[in-house]
Amino acid sequence: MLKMRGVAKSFVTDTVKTQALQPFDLDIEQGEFVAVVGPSGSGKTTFLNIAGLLEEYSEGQYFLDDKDTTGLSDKHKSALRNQKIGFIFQSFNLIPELNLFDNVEMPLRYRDFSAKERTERVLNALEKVGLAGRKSHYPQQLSGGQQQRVAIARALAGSPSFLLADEPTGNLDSKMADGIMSLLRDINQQGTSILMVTHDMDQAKQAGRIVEIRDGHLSEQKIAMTA
Amino acid sequence: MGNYYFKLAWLSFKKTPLLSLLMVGTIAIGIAAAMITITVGYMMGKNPLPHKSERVAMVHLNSWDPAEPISYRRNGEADIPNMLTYQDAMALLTADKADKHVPFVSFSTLVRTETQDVKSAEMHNIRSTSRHFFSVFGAPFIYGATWSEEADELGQSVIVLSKRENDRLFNGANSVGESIILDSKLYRIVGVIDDWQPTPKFYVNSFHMYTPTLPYFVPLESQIRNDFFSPATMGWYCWGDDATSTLKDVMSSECVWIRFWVEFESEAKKYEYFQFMADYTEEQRKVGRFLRPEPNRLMSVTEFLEEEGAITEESKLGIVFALAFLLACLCNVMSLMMTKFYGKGGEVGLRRAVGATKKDIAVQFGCESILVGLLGGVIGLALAQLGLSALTDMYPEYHANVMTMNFTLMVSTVALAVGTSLLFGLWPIYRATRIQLSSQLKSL
Repeated sequence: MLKMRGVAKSFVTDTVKTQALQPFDLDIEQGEFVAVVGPSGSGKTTFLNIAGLLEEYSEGQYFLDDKDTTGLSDKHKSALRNQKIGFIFQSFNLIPELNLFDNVEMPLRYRDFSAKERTERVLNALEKVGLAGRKSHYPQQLSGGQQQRVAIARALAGSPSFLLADEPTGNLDSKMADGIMSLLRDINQQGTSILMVTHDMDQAKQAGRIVEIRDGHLSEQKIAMTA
Repeated sequence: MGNYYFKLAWLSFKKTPLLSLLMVGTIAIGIAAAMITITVGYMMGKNPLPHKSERVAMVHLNSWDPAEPISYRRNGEADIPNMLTYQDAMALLTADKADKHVPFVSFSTLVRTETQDVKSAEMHNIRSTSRHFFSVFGAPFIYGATWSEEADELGQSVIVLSKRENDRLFNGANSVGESIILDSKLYRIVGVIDDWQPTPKFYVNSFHMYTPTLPYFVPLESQIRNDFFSPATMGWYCWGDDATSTLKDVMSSECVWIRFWVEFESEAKKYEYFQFMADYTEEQRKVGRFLRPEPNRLMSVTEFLEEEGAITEESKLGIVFALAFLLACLCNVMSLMMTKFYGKGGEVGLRRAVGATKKDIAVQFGCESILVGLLGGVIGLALAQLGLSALTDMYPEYHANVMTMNFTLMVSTVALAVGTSLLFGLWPIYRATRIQLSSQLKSL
């Protein structure tokens, strides 16, 4: 599903070249739940941005569902992001002036769905996260955990190949965080792949695989799974 | 999808009401200022007879003093009179070489109905002309029609009134067949014309082009037969020592006082008529008249408006300043839009992340610019109407038509606001589409 070969990222200024990510290979299969861990500044966010086609990589090849993303135009990358990737952010990134329905519907607006199909998908997604009854509410009327559930519904609405979650529980208390992790596990068990960046090793251990990034080097971590 | 973007635009408008209103207000003020000056300039200079302006022409004959010209044109060349002597006007009428002839002058006298006493009479200016005046210049009748050919020839006491006067004297009823009294002469009403105000009033000189049309019309010959003579109103230019104490004096003098328009069925006939004018001049030279070298003129409506300077240099300058002001307003709006769109970097990042292309973002913000322009245009239109209304009160000597927007101008106002708002929104929109995706996703 996701295949990276020799992918690396460097930032070049007039005088300095900084290697943010050393060349690495990575394969993630359909249905896997992969946690990405590492200290701050290690390159986790850069890795996630590359995986989400939000940032260019400097070298290597990245295949998404067997499609080579190298050198794709902005328009094609937008279409791939829309169809293949569901984003979940630490700060939820809901638009405050839109109600829950409109927030979840947003990615579907950029695809050729009929109004009827959009409505069905939004309601299904909200149903999955347990918020179908609050579709007319606004984000500020919800708790942090509920807002993250809406963000997850938004990520799921387009039936993506995988979810990219960037510290999805980072802004939540432990009880809410547990709820979100439980929801992500359920979604994964229903067949959706998840790539999650986290600081929290307990949460990382709930994933099937752990990938560690340290000083720009990416490696598989051999930790006994307890989940 | 358009509805979706306009919904987003409206939500965005409500999210930052102060900033949005500032943008709308700035556009509205700029548009209002521009459209007030453009309206006055446009209405002053528009072609009042678009369907036949090249087939209707004014006759200028150079019957002036051989010693010196009547005046000098703006380019310094010697000018010729734009009015005719009575004898020349009658000669052209008798020759009957055009399809329609409209000689005219004006005089003033007291007007009342048969039932009103003398004290109730009001002084009015009367247009003294031919029966073709109305059809050539496009004045529409609501009752009756123009007078007959016989009335022109015999100088019958018949009269056409304006709707306003008909409303005043006869409460708007069909007054055809009724009579009114000019001074002490009884005139039978043959027609009533509807409200009619060509803008500019192209058939007179520039001093009177934006004044209201006269309310009464009688045959020129009837003025002569009834000896209506009002030197202050009639206005003539003389050279030499001719007496001008009576109407008969003026008629037999070399004074010019009659404006003379002609209409042709085709433009080709206009050239034949110009040749006829040259032949007439040659004939007159043989009897010692028309000794000046400057050529005659046969000026179409558009040429006459140009010659008279229907749009003044001041009004052109006014338009330039107003457009400059609009430009300054739009630059401010552009700056405000930059601020607004910059503040939406997080939303742009999110939308791009979930699949929006740069074009989608450009269309979304384009709709927002259109909405701001539309609201600014509508409010600007209202402000412009208020401004024009105030100008009408301040300058009563100009007819209200000059200060009135027609439908085209109203639509143009809103279109200008929307168009310029979109145009000046292009740079902020372009900047919004170029944001670094990954850097904005933590800032929503």
